[in-house]
Amino acid sequence: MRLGRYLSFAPTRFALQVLTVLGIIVLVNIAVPFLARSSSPRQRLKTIQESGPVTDLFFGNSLIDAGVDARAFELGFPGRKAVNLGLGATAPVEHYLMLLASARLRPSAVYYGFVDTELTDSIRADFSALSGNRAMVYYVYPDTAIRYYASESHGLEFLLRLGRLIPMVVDRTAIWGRVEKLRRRIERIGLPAEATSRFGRDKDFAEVAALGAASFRSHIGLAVARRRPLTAPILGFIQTVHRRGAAVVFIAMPMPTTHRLPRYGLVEWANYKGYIQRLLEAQGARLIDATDWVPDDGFLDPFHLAPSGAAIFSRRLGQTLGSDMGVPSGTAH
Amino acid sequence: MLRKFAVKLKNALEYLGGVHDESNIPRLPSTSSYFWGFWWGLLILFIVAFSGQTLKFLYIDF
Repeated sequence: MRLGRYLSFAPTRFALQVLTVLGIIVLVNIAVPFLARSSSPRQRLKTIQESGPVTDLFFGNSLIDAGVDARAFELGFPGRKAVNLGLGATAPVEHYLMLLASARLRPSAVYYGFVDTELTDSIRADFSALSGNRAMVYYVYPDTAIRYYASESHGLEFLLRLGRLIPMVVDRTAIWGRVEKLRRRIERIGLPAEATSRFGRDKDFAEVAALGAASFRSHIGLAVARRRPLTAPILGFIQTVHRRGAAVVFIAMPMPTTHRLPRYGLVEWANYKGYIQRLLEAQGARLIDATDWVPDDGFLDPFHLAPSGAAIFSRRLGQTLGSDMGVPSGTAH
Repeated sequence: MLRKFAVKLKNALEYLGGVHDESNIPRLPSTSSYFWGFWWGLLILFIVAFSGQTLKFLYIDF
């Protein structure tokens, strides 16, 4: 064999190659923050920075993001100024971090939209889950995020602390998201367009909606039987809102009948709802059940409200709060 | 053209196997270390770009 000619090693040449590679990686790390400058979490942070006086702040995942029409809410509750800080594909820890980041706003009421058992479900997440919008844990109160996610895992804490220093890690989805969009475009060449909203493909949500319906009954039954508490970030959320002198209202978000009937028609759901209502009231928070407020034609997909549905929900929410929920009337400041 | 390629391949394999003393393998064009660094960097970037799991729910407004 005469491979030597091809495997000859010249240290100087090798070092130059390594340096060039490192230079490229550094350049990419400079470029990634530029690609991610308008990511959804940063848009919300910008909204907080640029917002004028507000009376009502909304937090939650994509159900709130898609479901709250601030103008319709203000029509239903005159004199109010609402801001929607809902953020898709996020969990209670991220909602709590977003609340912490909104300290400069002084609302008189704060709302938290949730679905199913989100308030009592485990908050565990691994390194790969903390990407996309959840990557905000790297740059919005990271120590708080680490306390929630990595208190029992030094390995994850190490990865999160190290990852914070590397933009390619923090905003890796800024690259992957573009690759995925390209992949989808190629996949659909020559085929009819798929039903898609800004949150994703309808068929993907339909798959998620079909999952878990069977186990839902036992899941909520166990939550009540084992007296599962509100999770730590939810408790932190309530306490922080109270410290700021505002009222806190939790909203069970509207769902279409395909989601509602197999789940919320159960006796176990009525028990679970009563259970979390007691937990919330014990913390000085209120619960509004809006699950059946919007007809099915007001939904974009099996989860998210369409703009027409968001207007119906938000206006009714404003009217409900204005009439009998005891939300402080306060002016925007 | 295919025949020519097959002959070159045969010669290359025979040289690597020690059948011939003289190499017939065409040398790669002489390139600088910077070129190879750029090449490996590009490959690493491709790996990083395509190593993301398939993202069903993008939730990203660029």
